[in-house]
Amino acid sequence: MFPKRRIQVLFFLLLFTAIPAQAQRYGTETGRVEFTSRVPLHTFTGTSDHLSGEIDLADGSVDFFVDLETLQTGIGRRDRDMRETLETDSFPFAEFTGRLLTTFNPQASGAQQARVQGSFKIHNVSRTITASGTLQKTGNQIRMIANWEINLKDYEITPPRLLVVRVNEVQAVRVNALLSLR
Amino acid sequence: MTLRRALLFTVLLLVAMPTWGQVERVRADPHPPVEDLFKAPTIISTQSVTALPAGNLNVTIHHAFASIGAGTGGLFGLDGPANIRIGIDVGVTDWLSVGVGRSRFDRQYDIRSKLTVFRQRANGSIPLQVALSGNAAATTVHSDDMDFVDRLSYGGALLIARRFSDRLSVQVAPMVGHANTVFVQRAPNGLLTPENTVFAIGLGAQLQVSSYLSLLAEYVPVVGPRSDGTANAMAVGVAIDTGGHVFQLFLSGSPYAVEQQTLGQNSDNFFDGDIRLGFTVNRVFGL
Repeated sequence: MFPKRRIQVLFFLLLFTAIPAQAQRYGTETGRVEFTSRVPLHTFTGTSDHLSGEIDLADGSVDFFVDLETLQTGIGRRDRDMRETLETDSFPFAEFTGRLLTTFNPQASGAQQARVQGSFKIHNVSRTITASGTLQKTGNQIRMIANWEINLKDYEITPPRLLVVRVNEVQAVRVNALLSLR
Repeated sequence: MTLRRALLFTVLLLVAMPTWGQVERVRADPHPPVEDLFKAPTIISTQSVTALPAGNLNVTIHHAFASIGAGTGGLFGLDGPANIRIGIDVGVTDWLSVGVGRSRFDRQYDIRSKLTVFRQRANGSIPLQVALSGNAAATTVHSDDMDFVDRLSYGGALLIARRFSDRLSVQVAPMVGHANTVFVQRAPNGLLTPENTVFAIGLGAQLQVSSYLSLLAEYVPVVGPRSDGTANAMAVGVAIDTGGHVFQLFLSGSPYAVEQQTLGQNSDNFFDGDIRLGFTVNRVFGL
């Protein structure tokens, strides 16, 4: 019923089906993540250039993560406080896994509006979020920009206290990455 | 048999396909260094192994009042002559910082530097944090018979520390101080045999009580020859970490904030009650 030759043919067909899909994966290991925190009369930004992950245009899947210990705010002491707050020893990553809600035309040259929906996980708590941004094809690469906000309470993170003021619970997150064909 | 193989391939493919899209989670630094061995770049009056990150500027105001033995009449030393060192340190890299400061006692200007040799790693692969610190200072007290070179003094230390747990850090620091001129007028009975070069083993500890509060202790016993009338520096205190600031409040047997003065000039004996109230404010700015 399933001669050896047929199995081989089936297997190669599956492989050939998978290979073109692989050719539509764009990824990075050096994307930028920024979050902006607000305290009364002051804001500060934390930045990491270690955003890793990829978008698969074939099936619209999106998967990114960043090592939270790479976030820097410009003041070492504040970085350490942030790592303590996020408990990065136990929960080192912020992760997003989801799908593109919009279609992307790789032939178009301008920035295209994009929306993704999926699971954002930080501090070992996952929430479904929707983020908006743009995707823009530039040569063999795609520029990805996305923005959304997270509420620290939703992720069971107690906002750190600076002297007598507390950091705002709502943090603005921005992602900017140049994705290369993989 | 072939049907089983076909089914097996299909199952394997189905299992493998969803994970194909999952990017492997990899730590940027799988063995991160241990942080906050000490809350501030100084324990109380001597340097700690704690490094200043690149691009950070730390402003310090070290203030040691007069002896609390002055009693209520002198408001426990608050009315007496205080030593104040105001300084700034800048993290040039994550491994190297440089700084300048000015002390009221001896009207002394100093430049200093700290080089982190290696950092303790959380996985135990490097069990210690080690740094080298050094400074050069020049007094500007008025004196017609002192050449510039006579005004210079130097201090150096090998800082070896370990964080034993989430709470306890201990530092041992072989130290040396050299003064081209020993200031005899600081000793109560004068210095009969001034020593220009003095060695010591600096001992320091930090016990973290909470994320904001730590207890500090520092003892700097001189080993070998020393100037008559000098005493080992001893201090205890608390560090309050508010995020942007670290406030250190202390009781100290020494008014000095520069190592060669602490080693070679201190005449106050903590254990005899020669104790001063003091504080240090550390404020970090990002450049």
